[in-house]
Amino acid sequence: MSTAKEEVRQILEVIPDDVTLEDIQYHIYVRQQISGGLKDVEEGRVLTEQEAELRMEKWLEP
Amino acid sequence: MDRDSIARELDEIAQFIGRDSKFYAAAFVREARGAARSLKRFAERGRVVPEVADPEIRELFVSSYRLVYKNRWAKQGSCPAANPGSPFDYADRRPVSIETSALAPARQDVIELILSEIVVPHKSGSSLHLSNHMGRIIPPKDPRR
Repeated sequence: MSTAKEEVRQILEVIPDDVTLEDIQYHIYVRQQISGGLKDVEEGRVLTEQEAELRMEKWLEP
Repeated sequence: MDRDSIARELDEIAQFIGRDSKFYAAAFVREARGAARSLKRFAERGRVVPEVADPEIRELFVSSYRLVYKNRWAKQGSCPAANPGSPFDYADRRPVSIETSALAPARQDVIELILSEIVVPHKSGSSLHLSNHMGRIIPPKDPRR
């Protein structure tokens, strides 16, 4: 399991040299969101496809 | 966090778009659903998320959002032609191959970078056909624009 510092280092390696602090913040945010999602999956905070579709149905009604 | 954070995120985005237009909210939901469903057959169509750089963690673009998913087959080479399960089918933890993990808003400059690398299945008339950009990384635009 990589540490937070390593994760940030990894991000810095793949982004262009002329980025702003705001850009870096954004990429860290993305990384955080993904970690959160993976944790949700691991801990069973998930829905079946049917449940998910049922929830979204209200947006599709005319 | 609730058990249903993924659907809630989708819901929040739809609500946000829905404040301006119910029509676009519905279009967004349809697009997100279509993208998620397409992963049942084409699990490797998404590109590897650069921030994570793990072949299992991939993403598709849905409007200006990034639909991130996990493809468990990625490390074993190619995935089976027809995967069982679905992107949302987590209740059943057997060989479910794809997991939608998070939705993060994307920005235009990031999207350009991404579209230059993604292999977009050619659909006639699709604005996503970007063969001119293939294989070339487009740097982000000047952030001071």
